[in-house]
Amino acid sequence: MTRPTAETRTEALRAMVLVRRFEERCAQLYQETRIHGFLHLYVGEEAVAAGTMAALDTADNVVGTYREHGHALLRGVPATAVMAEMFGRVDGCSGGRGGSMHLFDTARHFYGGNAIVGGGLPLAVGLALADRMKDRPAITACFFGEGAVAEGEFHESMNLAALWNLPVLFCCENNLYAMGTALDRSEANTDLSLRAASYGMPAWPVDGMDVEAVAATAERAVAYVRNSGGPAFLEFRTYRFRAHSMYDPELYRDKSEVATWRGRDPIDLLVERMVEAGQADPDVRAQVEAEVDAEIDAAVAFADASPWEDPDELLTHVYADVSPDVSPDVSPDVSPDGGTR
Amino acid sequence: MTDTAASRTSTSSTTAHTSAVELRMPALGADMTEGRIVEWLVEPGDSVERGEIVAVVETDKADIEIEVFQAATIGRFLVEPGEVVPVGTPIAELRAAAPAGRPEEPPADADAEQPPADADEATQPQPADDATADQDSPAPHAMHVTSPLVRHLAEQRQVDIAHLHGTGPGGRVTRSDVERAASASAPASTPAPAPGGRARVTPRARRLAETAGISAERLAETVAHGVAHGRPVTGADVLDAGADEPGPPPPDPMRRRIAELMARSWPEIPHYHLERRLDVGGLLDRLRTLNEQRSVADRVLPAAVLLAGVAAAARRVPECNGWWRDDRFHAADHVDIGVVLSLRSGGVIVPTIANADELDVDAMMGRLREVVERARRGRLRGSDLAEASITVTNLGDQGADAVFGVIHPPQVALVGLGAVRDDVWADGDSVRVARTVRASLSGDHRATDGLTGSVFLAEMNRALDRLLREETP
Amino acid sequence: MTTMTGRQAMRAALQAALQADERVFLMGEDVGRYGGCFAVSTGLLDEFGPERIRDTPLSESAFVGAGIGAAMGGMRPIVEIMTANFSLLALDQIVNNAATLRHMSAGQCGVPLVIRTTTGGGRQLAAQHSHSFDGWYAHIPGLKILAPGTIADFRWMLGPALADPDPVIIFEHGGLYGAEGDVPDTDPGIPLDRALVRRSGTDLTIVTFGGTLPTCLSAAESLATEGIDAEVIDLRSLRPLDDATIMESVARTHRAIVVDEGWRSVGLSGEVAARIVEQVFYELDAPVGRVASAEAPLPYPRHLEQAALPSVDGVVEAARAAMQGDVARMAIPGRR
Repeated sequence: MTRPTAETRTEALRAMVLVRRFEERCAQLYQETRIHGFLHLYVGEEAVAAGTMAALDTADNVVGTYREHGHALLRGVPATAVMAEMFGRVDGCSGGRGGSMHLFDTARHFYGGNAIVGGGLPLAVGLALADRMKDRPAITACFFGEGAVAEGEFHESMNLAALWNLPVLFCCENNLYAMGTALDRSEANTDLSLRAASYGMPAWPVDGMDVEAVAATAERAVAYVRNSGGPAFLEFRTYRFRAHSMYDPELYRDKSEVATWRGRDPIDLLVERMVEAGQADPDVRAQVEAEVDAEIDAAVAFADASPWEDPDELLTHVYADVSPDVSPDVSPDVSPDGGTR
Repeated sequence: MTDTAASRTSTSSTTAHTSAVELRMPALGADMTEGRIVEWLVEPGDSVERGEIVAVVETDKADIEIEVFQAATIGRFLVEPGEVVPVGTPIAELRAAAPAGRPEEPPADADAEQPPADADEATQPQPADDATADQDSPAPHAMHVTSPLVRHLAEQRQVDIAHLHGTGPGGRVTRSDVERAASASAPASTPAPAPGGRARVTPRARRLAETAGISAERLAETVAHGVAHGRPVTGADVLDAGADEPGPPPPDPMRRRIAELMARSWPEIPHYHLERRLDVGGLLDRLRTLNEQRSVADRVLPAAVLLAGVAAAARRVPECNGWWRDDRFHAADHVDIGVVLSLRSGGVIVPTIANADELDVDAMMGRLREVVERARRGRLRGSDLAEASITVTNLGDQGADAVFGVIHPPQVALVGLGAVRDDVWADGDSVRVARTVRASLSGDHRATDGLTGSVFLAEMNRALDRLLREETP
Repeated sequence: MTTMTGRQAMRAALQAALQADERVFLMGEDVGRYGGCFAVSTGLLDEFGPERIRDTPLSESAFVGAGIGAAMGGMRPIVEIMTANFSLLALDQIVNNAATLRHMSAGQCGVPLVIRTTTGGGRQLAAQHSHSFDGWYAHIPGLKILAPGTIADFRWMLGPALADPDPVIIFEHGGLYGAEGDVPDTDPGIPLDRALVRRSGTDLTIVTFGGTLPTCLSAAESLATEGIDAEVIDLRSLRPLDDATIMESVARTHRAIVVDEGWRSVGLSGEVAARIVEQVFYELDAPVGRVASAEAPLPYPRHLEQAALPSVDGVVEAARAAMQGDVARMAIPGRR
C-alpha cells in the first residue's frame, strides 16, 4: 500500500480545496442566477472523490450521480468545461445541454451525471460487461448515494455484477440523508456493507471524512476488482455540510448535527495532519485556496465568454447525424404538394 | 426567440469578488422569483467571514438563511425586513475585505452585472437587449476547417459559415449544417398545386358547392389566378360565389325524437290539466324518522315515496293507467310508471319502473336508484325501456313549483310534481305554514274527464297520507 | 426465396448477426438454456456459447441498463425483453438513459443497442400479457421503433438495426412467430425507415403495421369482392414514420384508415391521422378513420378478446364507412 507522502498529501489537499471552492462558487453563482435549475453540492464529501479518483487508471470508467461536480473535476475534466456546462454554454463538457446533473466526458471515461437515483448502476454493470467481453483490464467505478439502496435497480445491479463476475467497484457515498429522508427511516437494515456483502462481494465501510483512509481503502479495493475481475462494494461514511440542493430549508436535520460533522471537515483533518508532520505551514489552506480561486475565476470567465448553442441545432444529436459528406444515393422524397421531406 | 447574433456574445465578465459591492436577493431554488427579508442577523458596520449567515429570507416554500461568499463589512441595508423584492434586487451594501495574501480588488463597476429580467426563466440567455451586440467578436471555435465543397455550397446559398455551429467532427461545418441554415432563412413557400392537377378545395367548400350546384373546380381556377395565388378554395369563396349560407346543423337525434313525440302529443291529444296542492309535511316527517335509523345507502328519497303514491292512485283509478289506441282506451294490466329523467348532457330519457304498485317504498327506491344510474351511464336495459302505462315528471328537484306536462302518447295521463315548498295552509279557521307539493294531472279528454282526474289526485293524496305509517295502506 | 416461420426467420437473423460480428451478443431471460420463451433462440447457446448467449436474472432494469452500458463500451448487444409487458420494468433505463444519452452529452455517448421484444394480444393471455406499447415508445425522441409485419422483415430487419448507431426497439408480434411467409435468401436492402405498399389499390389507403398487417390484407381481399380496391401500407418503422409513402398513397386514393392494435385514444393511429390531415388535407374525400383496440384491458375469454381487438370485419366496416365519407358512425370495437 502506498504510504502518504508530503506530495500525495499536497495533491489530496489541492484536490479537495479545488472541489470545495468550486462548489462554493457555484452556490454563489446560482444565487446570482447565473446557474439555473437544480444544483447539488458536494461540500463536506470531497475526501471521497479525492481519495477514490486517485486510485483509478485513466482507462477505467466512472459513472456518477447528480452530485458529481467533484468527481468530474478530479477525473480531470477541466474546470473551464465544467463551469461552462453549469452555465449552459456550448463549450461545456456536455455541450451545454446537460447542466449540473449531466456532466459527460467520454474521452476521460466519465459517463455522467445521472438524475435518477440508482439509474447509473445498470450502466456501470454494462460498461464493465463490455470491458470483460473485450478482455480489457479496465474497471468501472460507480458512485451513488445511500438512497440508491432503496431502489430496485441497486439490487438488480449488485446481483448481476456478482453473478457474472464483472469488474464494478460500487462506491456508496453514505451521507445519511436521501434528500430529506434519513437512512434509518428508509432502510430496515442500515448496515449497508453487510447487505452489500450478502450479494456475494467484498464490502468495506470507510471513514469518508479521512481522505487518506479513503485513498488506502480505494487502492485496495481497486486492486481487488482489477485482479479478481469481480465486483466490490465500498461504503463511504460521509456527510454533506450543505443542503440537498439549493432550495432545501433542511428541516429534517438538526443544526447541531451539521456542526458536529463540520468538526470533521476533511480538509481541516488533512491540514492538521500535514502541519503536525511538518509537511505544511498552518496557513497552507489559505494559500491553496488563493491558487484555486484564481483557477476558478478563470473558469467563470471562460464560461461567461462561451456562446449559447444556436437553437437551430436543437435537433442535432437526437440521433447520430449521418455525415453529409457521404451523400445518400436516394434522392430526397417529394411529398405530393411539392415540398421536400 | 432571441436574436442569434446577440445571444452569441459574451456578457461582460466579472470576477467573483466584484459582486461584493452589493448583497442581492439570491435565487434559492429553481422557481423562486421573489423573497422577503424576515430578519437581518447582522448590523451595519459588522465584519463578516466568508460563509457567514447574514439574514433570513422567506420564500413561498420556507425560510432560508443566506450567506455572504467572502469576508466583508456590512454597509447599509437597502431593504427592510418585511419587504418583498424580486430576486437580484440589491438588499445591502458591502465593503469587501481583502483576504489575507491578496491585493485588494478595485471596487467593481456597479453596472458590471445586471440581473436578468426573468430570474425564473431557466433557459433564457443573458439579457437579449444587451446593447453591446458585438458582431465581429468570433466565437472561440470559429476556426472551422470546412471542405471546399461546403464552402462553395455556403456561397451559393448565401450562408455565413463563420456564424454556424458545425455538427461535424471537431465542430466542423458540414453540408447539412449549410442546408439547414439556408432553408431556415428561405421564405415560406406557397404550396404548389397537386401533381395530379386536382384542385385544392376544402371539404366544407365542396359540400357547399355541391348543394349550391356550383363547380368547385371552376372556382379553384378563379381563385388560383386571383390575388391570393395558390390559396385553396374555402367555404367563404363558395358563399361569395353565390351559395347560400348553410342552415343550422341538424338537431341531435334525441332532441329530434322528443320533438316528434311532443309535436304528436299536442295536436293529437285533447289535454286537460288539473292541479292539487298536497300537504306532505307529515309524510316527510315520517320519512325522516325512517331515514334517521338507516345508513345513507339505504335511505329513501321523497321522489320514491311520491312515485309510490302515484302507483297507488293508478291502481285505484285504472282509467288513467293505459293507452288510447284504435279509437278506444285499453287499460293496462299493470302499473308501469315512466319516470322522466333529465340528462346532464341535455335532453330527457324515460325509463320504466314496472309493476310499481306492487313495490313497497324500499323496493321503489331501489328501482329508482338503479334506473337513474343506468340512465346516467347510458346503459339502460331493454326492460328499462318497456312501454309505460302512465308517466311521472318530477321537476321539483329543478325548482319548478308546478308542472303541467304533455302526455306521452299513447298513454292517457301524465302526473306532474313540483318542488316541496313552504306554503300558507288554511286549517278550518286557522292558518299555518305547511310543506306542500303541487301535483298536477294532465289527462287525455278522450279517455277521461276532469272528474276522473280529480279522483286520481285525491287517491294520490290519500295514498301519500297513509304511507310510512305503522298500519298498512 | 425460402418459406419459413417468423421464429425461424428471427433465429436465422440472430445467427447471421452473431456470426458476422463478434461484438454482437444476445442477453435476456431464458434466451439460452430454455431456448427462448418463444423458441426463437433455440440452439444458439450451443452454437455460440454462454459468453454470447447470456441468460439473465429477472432483472429487466439491470440487464437493459447493462445493455446500454455495454453498447456505450463498444459492444453491439441485442437485449431481449421477453414481452413488451415487462419492458415497463426497464422504462427508466430505456427512456431516461438510452433515449437521452446522446443528446444530453452533445453527441459523446452513442447507444448502439437493439432491444427485441414480443408484443400484442390475441392469444388469450389476459390484460397484463397482451399490451401493445409500440405507439407509446414511438413517442420518445432518441429511440427508433420497428414493427416487422412480414416474415421477410423478421429475417432482414435485425441486421440493419444492429448497424444503426442509435437504440432500436423491434416489436415482434407474438402471433407472427408461427406464421409462414416467403423470405428472400439475400438482404433485399430496404431501408429501415421505409414503409412499403403491400397491396396496391385505388379506392382507399389502409395504413397499418406489425401484427395487424395480415388482418388488413385479409380485409382488403374481402373488400375487393365488394368492388372496393384497397391499398395496404405496412409502416415497418414507427419512429421515424415514413410520411412520403403514406402521403403519396393517400393523395392517390383520397381516403385513409389507420389500423393499430394499440388502444384508440391517444395512440399511434391518431398520430398518423394527424399527419395525413396536415400534409394531404386537400386530397381527402373522407375523414381519416381509425380502427384500434377497444378502450379496455384485454380480457381473457376468446370472444371478448376478439371483440376488443381490430378484426377483419372491423377493418372492412371502417373501409366501407370511409368510402361513404362517414367514419364517425362506424362501429367501434366493444360497442355494439
